[in-house]
Amino acid sequence: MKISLPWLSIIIWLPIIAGILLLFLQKMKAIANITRFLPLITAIVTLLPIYYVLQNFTLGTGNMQFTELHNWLPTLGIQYALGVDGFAILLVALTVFMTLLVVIAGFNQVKKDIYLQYCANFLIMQGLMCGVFLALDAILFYVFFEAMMIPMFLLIGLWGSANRIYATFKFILYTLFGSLFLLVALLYLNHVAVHVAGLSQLESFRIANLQGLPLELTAQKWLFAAMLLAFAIKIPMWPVHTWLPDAHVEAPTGGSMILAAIMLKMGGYGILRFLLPMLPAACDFYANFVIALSLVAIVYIGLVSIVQKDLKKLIAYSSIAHMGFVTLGLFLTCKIVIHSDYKNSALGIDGAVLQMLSHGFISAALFFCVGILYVRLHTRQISDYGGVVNTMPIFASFLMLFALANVGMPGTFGFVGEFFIILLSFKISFWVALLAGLSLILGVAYTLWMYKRVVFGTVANDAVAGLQDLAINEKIVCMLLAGAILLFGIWPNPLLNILRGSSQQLISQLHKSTVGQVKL
Amino acid sequence: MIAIAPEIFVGSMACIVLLVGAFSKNQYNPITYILSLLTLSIALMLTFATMPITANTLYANSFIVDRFAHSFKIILYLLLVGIFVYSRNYTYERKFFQGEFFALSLFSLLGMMVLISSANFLTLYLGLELFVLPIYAMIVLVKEQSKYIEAAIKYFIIGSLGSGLLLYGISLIYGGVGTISFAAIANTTTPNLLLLQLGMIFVVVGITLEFGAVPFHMWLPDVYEGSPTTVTMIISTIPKLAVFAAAYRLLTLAFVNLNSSWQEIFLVLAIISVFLGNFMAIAQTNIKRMLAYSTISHIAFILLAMFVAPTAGFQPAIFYTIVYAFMALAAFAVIIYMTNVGFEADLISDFRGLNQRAPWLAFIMLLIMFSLAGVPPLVGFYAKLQVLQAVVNSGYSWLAVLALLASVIGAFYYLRVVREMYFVAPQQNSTIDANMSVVGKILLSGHGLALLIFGIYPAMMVYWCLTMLQ
Repeated sequence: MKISLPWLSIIIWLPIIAGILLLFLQKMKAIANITRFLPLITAIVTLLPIYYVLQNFTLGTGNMQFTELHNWLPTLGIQYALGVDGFAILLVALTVFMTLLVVIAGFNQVKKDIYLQYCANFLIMQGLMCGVFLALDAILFYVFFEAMMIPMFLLIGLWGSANRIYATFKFILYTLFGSLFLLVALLYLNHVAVHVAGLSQLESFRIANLQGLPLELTAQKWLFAAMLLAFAIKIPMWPVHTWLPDAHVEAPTGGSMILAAIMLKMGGYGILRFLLPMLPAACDFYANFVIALSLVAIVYIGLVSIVQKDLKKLIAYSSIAHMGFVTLGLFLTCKIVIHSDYKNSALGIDGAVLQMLSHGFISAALFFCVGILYVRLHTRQISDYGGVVNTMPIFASFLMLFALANVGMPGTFGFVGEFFIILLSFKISFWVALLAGLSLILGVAYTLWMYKRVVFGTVANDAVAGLQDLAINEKIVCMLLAGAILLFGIWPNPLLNILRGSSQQLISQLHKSTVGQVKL
Repeated sequence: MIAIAPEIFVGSMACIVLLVGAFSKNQYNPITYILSLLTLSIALMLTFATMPITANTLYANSFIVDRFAHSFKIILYLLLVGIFVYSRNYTYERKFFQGEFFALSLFSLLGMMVLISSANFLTLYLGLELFVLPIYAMIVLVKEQSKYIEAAIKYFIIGSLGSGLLLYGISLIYGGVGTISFAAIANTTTPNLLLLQLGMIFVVVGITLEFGAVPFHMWLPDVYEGSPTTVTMIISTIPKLAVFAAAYRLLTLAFVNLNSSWQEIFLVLAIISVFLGNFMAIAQTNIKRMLAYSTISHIAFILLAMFVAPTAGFQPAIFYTIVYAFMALAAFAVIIYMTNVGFEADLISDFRGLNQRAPWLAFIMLLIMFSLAGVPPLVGFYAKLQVLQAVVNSGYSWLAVLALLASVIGAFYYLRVVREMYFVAPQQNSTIDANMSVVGKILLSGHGLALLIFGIYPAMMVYWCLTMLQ
């Protein structure tokens, strides 16, 4: 049964409004026992519209569904236009799910007097992040993309650890720097859409209208460089990744989880939505360059992870290495579609999106596990731990699962995306596949070695001896994450079904754009 | 007569306020304050009522009445009301709260109104002098501190230099075309181009000097810092609007045939202003100085918008100027809120830990800072967006990149204020003793939230700016 409500607007604005209300409620200490559960209720309630949308989502089509359209700034051609397709719906669902986990996790990990503020921040951020994925208008996308940084900036700065101010400034300045190029690129595309292609001014910022514009290769190259910089910083790609370890290390647990699970995905999503369909020729031209950068991220950053002494830093670097697969998959597809038989290359797009999702679950799970240790011992140094399995057996088994998933063990979600992409890379070259495959070895090295040093062995010191095993809310979060990782690892088909329509459409867009062009 | 009713009314009320102030027994009688607010509200109604449908020039082509002029005058009244309400307690404590201060403000306002409506060089010069002279006096109205005097003298000398350059330019233009009326200058069929262009350069320099664009910016930080915060508030908001309006008149009427010449000047000034303003602001520890350099960078954006105005229209520039004036007003209002007897709250470190001492005020300041930095969804973003769109549409994408690059540098110092407020522990834990009336507090809350609301729904304001140009 279809109910005509602005479902997507509800997904965006419900948590934002609830978050603002929570900020006002936090002063009322008298009802603190009731308000304490409001974030949880809000987070659960926001699952309902997403459930409804998933239920009524039409499979097998790449068209936007549940679209909403209002004029917002007609003189500039900006609209409030929302819609979902296969890519967006999965990422939105991930966002909502992850915020729920953060809210649950915060129950015993955050001080009582700031819990409401903390959750309000995450709920507002949740709405804004959903907005990024749901926006069909380029400027609306940009507005959400930037606005989302404000709560993150405050979050790291307010509740981060010792070096938080440096980290949060590095984070926001890096991102602002990247997105300025994105803004100019969008304005230029809009200029071309209106003044060269002759589109109507009224909806000239619609993402769909900015795709397939008649652009010269030189212009495409400039635009590509500008946009890639913006998205590469978000992903982050080597060598513009240096903000990420700092931000992750200093952020509170929830901040790290959201940063890793959702915010990094915006870069990949941007490439899917903007770079590939808007600038196919330039994507093809620079594909080798991006593939090379991705391989550097996979191999070099993998090596860097091995030598980390700080748990969070290790996971942060492993994030960069895993996100390397996303860019690798996307640009491999681009190359294959343009230069050869394109029928099977949806593998790359699907692999990249699955990799984004699996990384969302796994990295969030690992950051959460570090958070569990950190609230107990207030240290993130690997050398301060050892023999945790003796005092926290349940924790140790969950961490084992997450560590294996991070390695890419078959049967876990971490395997699916990487496998797809490595498979695809054999079509381009054996050496690309070999280098990408190195990730499986490096991943084992850094993850399991870390696991061995932290968990196995004899109890290292008195602090570890006094550790308490998981509290009830921590168990719930671990179980939800472990369930998702195993379920989609064994049975990724539902996700592929949702993706199919959109990835086919992207492939045919890429293919169409090259018809009639000289094959290189 | 009807067309200039607002000017006549403001002028006569200024005299009345002066007299009332002089003859009342109590020097700090609130009656002058109330009278000035009354004057502004009645002037607002008068201006609304006489809003013309088409543009008219009066008095031998010396005075122009159109929607643009009337709308700008209305904004001036609103800003001045804000200034008076916000700084009521501050002026009282600092012994400003007297007839002279209000009368001088109203005279200055009258000067700006004349400037906005000027249609020839004589009215332009008249308006400019009438608005700056009272400001010099206001800075030193209370000779409490030697820095006031220093600031006033600096402003006076630079302002006089600007007037001198302007007059020199006017005389050259008169020599070149034989008229001082804007419309007639544009229509002259056989001008002496050399004299006209030379004169134009002097006039543009005079105008940008009042604006404070680099390299004519030296006075700005010193005057901002050295003046009492109320007067800084006045200097940083309403004159920018008035000078912008004068520049608009000059560029669209008098120099419309010299577009390429003045555009070059504006381009160079804009680029150096946006970089120098933002870079210098990073080094400041005094928030008034910081806001002065930030003003320079915002002026650069306005110049940029005017640079592309011949192709893209003046609407982005108007929007930017208005938004900037309201943001600056709010920022200074927060500073005033925090002042106290003998405490100026003008160091960035005075904002330390504000979130713990006064969370709501800190939130308002956060909105203002993000708006000044041009981060969506605040209204400052749309101001920048429109300018950049105009710049890109005119074929200067590289210029948009440069301007944005500078504003990322700029974001750093606005965020530094946020950092002091939110991330650093306060020096003392007492709550802030608000130096503002209840009305002022409510107004300030509304003002800060308006930056967010107009950011979420900017269409109305854009539309309003477009109607001004009809």
